[in-house]
Amino acid sequence: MNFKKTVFLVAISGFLFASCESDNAPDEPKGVYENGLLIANEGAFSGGTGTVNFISDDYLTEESEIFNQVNGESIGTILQSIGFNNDDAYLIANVGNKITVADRFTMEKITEITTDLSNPRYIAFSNGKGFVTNWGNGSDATDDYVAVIDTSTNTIEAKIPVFEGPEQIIANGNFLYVSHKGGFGSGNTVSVINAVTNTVVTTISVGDIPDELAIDNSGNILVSCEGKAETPWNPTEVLGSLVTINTATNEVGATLNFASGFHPNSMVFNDSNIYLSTSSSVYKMDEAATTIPTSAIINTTVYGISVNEDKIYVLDAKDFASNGTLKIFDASTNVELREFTVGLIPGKIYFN
Amino acid sequence: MGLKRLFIFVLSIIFAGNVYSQKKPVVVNLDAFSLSLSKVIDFSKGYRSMLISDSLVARNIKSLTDVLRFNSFIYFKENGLGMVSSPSFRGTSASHTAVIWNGININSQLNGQVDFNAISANSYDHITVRGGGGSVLFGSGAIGGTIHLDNLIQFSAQNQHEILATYGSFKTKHISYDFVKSSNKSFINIGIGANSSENDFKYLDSNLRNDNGSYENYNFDVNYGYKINEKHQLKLYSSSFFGDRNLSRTLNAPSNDGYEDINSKNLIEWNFFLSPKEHITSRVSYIFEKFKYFDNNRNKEIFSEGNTERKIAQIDYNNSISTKLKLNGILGYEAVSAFGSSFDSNTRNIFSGVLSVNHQLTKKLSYGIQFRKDFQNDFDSPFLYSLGIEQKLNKKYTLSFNTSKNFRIPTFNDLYWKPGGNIDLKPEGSYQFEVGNAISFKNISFQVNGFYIKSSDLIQWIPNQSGVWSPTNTDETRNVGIEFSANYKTSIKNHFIAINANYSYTDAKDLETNQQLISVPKNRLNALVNYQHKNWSAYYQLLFNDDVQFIVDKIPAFQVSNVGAEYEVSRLENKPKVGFVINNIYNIRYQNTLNRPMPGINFQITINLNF
Repeated sequence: MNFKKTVFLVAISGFLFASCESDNAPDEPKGVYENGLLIANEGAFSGGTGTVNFISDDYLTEESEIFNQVNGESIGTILQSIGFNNDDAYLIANVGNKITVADRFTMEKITEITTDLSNPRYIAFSNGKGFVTNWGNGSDATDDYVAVIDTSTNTIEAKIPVFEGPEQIIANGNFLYVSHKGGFGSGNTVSVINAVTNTVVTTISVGDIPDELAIDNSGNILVSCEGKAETPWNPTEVLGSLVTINTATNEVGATLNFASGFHPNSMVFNDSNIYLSTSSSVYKMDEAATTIPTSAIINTTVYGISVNEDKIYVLDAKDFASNGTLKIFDASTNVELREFTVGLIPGKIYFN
Repeated sequence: MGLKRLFIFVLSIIFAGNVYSQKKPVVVNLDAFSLSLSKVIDFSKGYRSMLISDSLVARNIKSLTDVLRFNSFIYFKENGLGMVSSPSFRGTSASHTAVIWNGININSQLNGQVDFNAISANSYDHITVRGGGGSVLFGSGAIGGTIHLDNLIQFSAQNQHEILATYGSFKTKHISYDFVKSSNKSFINIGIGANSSENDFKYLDSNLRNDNGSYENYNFDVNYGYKINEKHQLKLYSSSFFGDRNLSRTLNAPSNDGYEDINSKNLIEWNFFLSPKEHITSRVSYIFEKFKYFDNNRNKEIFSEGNTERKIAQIDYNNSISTKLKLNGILGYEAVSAFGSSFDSNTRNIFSGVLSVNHQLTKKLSYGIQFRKDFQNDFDSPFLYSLGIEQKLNKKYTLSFNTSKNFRIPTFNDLYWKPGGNIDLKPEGSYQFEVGNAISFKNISFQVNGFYIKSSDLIQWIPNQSGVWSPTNTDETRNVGIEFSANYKTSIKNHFIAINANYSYTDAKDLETNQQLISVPKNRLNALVNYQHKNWSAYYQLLFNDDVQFIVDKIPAFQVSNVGAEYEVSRLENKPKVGFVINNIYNIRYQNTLNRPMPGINFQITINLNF
């Protein structure tokens, strides 16, 4: 960080501090990137780097490439996802085979992990440790694992071998649920890992190509399964589905098949509602609903969605060769509030 | 127009030509006859061709990328030194430069491109760069320009062995042996070569090295000719290449990828000289290429692969009706089959008919017109044409003009890739025109060409409704530019100086988005200063490459220079030549493609033996 940057940061933090003083909670500001959104952009595959955009909650501040700006270095090729452990952000560069640990509010780099990673995808935290899914070679069914990070040293202390293509991972107490999207093939299982013993406890069969995971208000795990669209290369459609896993028994509690042609790419659980998106629409259903939603609440191109505090956030990757956009909708009226240009192939939204 | 009708059309023109033919005989040099070279020289009126001399090739022997980067207008998107390298000629895309091996278009049937690091630089007698569209003569993808790799079979007494060996930084090695023996009856040329490099140079201003960048490749070439009698000649050309590369890391990602490729090109040619002015050449060719890509080069059990096989037959009829009028008709058939990990086995059959006329209208004005029509099972091919005119305004100044319609047919990847391939694609179309000015004085010559290329229905891979990447005929582009070259030669007593410079300005735009195209440098310059004195020669090579936009990033402009010296040891019987080169003498940090640094200062020694 150069002198000019420091001055700038001091000035900005001063401003934030001043603006907070009128409130009754005079918390120390945690950094310039507090009270806003972080957008993770995957970036270019060939030689490129992932980037992070910041948009403040009041929409007054917009900044691109914040990690690169603060640290003078890049995150690595394809920023797949970011995981958070207290104030630490774990930025996972998939092709870069690197996890960068940075302060989530200042974006200042703390350390990086470059060994024992092979095609890392997502991270979850449990029992004081980080668990990272690793595909290995996408066509090798035997080299997949979940890497265990000691968060005090930020080094990988163990590898738990798992089935092909471990994708998303979510913690429920001392247990981790991993969706096996299946690498370059197609998977149909969720595995459960004991975070204390670092072992796979059980494997649960779900729909084809399970991806996103969420925990509902009853403590069940929701799994959105993409299924397989009917195409010239896949003449027989496999329906997408929403699978509920009972965490007490680790058995499938319910399976709700989607309509033909509905293949979800994202799922979010928020305030007793399940939001699902396809590449062109966003749907909403109550967690207690036993039928699938038939009409979309928003029709727009979707690469990723998120929902937070009565707002629906939709990312559009456009043509994958120019900067994408973030559209913000009011969750009660479904009316578009704002649109921002973000980085190349924006994939994920996080709330600071 | 049906194939049959076209054939009749061709015949009738030839017949008509014969009726009006003049009596003056035309002498074809039977002992150094090359049909494919004549296409570049005789049937390219109004087009600019640049011959890359043997000495330039020898200096950059490692790869064709290196040879052409410093000596032509072409920008190479080389994915790290020695890695996959594709051209951008006049701002066009990688599959819009066609490579023509002894008259046969050898662009990949899978992606339409040629990897210029998978062609050995020492296998050919002539390397010619021809600017502008050439689909009529050279087929699919000849839009930005064509690169011609020719072997010359000559029936004259020769007996020569040549060994070229180089050794340089990062354990970069080349060794090749070339043997030619010929008489007035037969000709044989055998060449073998090998390149290898650890290629593990340090990135400047970084603590990273070019990890996983090692490569090795081998080539084996045989060219054989037999003169049966004054009327018949039989020729065989064969060129094979084996490459084994790791694919190097970038600044932003490590790599453990590996890539192996094999290609073999084989051609049998029969020249039948019906009369001093009329000849028919029949050719059959068999070409195959295969690659294997390893996601993890430590586990070679798992890979993806692609294989293509091509069988080509051609009849090429030439009639030099007079010194002023030349006719050429070609009928061709090609069967292509491909199979691989990502698509099922598929085949394609193409019939083609080409008609060319070259006419010297007056002493100063000449022109050439050509037509082509292809017929194939998958889609309709457009009717193609080309017109070139040359007007000598005076002894020093020649003005030329050409216009052509060109095409690129969808590749097997475009049509059949699983998932995403789109069998409803149509060929890309492109039309262009060009004005050239050639001015030459005693010691100095200039050439200035301005070009305009408009391409439509360009095939672009974008995610479709269900999020699967799939190609469609969407894009439309427009490229305009200027190519300027200057050559200067002078000598003072026995000091010789030669200076060559090539400068290009290219403005390439996507007409849909109105944005500049990615991977096109606006300004580009290379220059070579050569000095020779007795047994010594020295040279300075310079390349300036402008900013290059790559998706949302910019690859910064750079200027890189090499210096070299050569000495011929004339005391020794075989007059061996030794050379020394310092590449990137100013230790400049530069990249040809995004975040793939090129090496800093590095060295190379060369020994060349002839016996």
